[in-house]
Amino acid sequence: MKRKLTIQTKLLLTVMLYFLTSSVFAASDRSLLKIKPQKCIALHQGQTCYQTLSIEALVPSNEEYCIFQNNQEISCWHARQHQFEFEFEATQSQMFELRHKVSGQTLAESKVTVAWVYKSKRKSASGWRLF
Amino acid sequence: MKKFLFSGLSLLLSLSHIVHAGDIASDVRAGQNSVDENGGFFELGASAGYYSNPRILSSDDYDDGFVAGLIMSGDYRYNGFFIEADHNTSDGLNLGYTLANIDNWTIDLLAGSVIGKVDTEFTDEFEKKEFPTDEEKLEYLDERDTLFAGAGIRLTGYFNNFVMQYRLVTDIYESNGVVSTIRFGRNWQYRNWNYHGIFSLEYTSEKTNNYWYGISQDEAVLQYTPYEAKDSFNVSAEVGVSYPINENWVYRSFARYKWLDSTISNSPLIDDDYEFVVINSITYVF
Repeated sequence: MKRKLTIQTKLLLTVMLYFLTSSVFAASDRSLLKIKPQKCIALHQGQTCYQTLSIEALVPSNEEYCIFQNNQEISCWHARQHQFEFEFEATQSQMFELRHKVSGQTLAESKVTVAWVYKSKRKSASGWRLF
Repeated sequence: MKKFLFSGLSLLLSLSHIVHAGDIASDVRAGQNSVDENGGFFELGASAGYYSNPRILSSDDYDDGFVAGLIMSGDYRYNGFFIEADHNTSDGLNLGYTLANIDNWTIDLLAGSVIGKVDTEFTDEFEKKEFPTDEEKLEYLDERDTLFAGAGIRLTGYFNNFVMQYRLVTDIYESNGVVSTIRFGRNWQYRNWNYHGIFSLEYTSEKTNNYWYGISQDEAVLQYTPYEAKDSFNVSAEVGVSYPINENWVYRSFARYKWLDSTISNSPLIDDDYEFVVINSITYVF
């Protein structure tokens, strides 16, 4: 009985160790880009939308990495983890990318959507109208 | 049927009367044209604020102080035809047709620009009475018709964040005169907050002022002596702000001050030379 419990415990420990080491390994090997919130709301379509974004990046090495907003560089750093606040201003949805500075390789991406309450009221062709 | 229609209309208009502003207010909040694309929106919500009513009436509905209510409003356009029931309008319910868009200007034909309230049954009953008592007269002065169904023309100019609007309407409900307004509006955006300001000059004909503020010999009682008004110019100013809480909910706030011409403030039915309202609202946009 005692022997059986020991084997079960060993098995359980092995399984736990496997998941623990594999998750640590995955996290260290994975690149993450977290942006909050992912939506900016303007009152009317076409207006500039303003939102303070919290951006967090996790990268696999201490080499230089950068974040781009629609291909415009907004922040670069040398560290495994980087967190900052960013003042978002845009009239349309924007794509944010985490890239390796030297190779230019995109490691992760995230989209911030611009939405609105009232859609744009476009003006019809100039001139008089009769039905 | 007529009573039913007017009752429904009166509910809508009495709400819009409390929260009133101008259709220019809708445009100036948007900072853009309210023109021509087919479609629209509908809003439901609630409002609360303070209303200083210059009318001296015995009904509790007209007391100065806290006001609150439900909001039903909307705006719809189809091939040039439009219906505007903005809850932040001075002009009430507008039905019309856009005649032309020329450069920065839009010319609208207003088939019905409706404000005020009407209770035909109540009015008919009073008018049937040969010798109404003072109490009945007081009740009548409280509740008599104020419906003004204007038909006419509206000219609106859009210049970046500025809006200018001229409006000339004549009453087609009971030929109760002419109202004409010129308004200037400006929109500012700070982050996702949309601020606006509107300055308005309104002309009201003698006939309209007597309909709203006059007291005939038949209506007069001890405290409300006969009064005949002249035509008038009223000036008003409004500031406000709108903010999108999310994709469907909008917060709005505005304050409006209206200086009343002496021919209105001298009416026995009026005890102030101004009208003031400040309203906060939250609406769900469909």
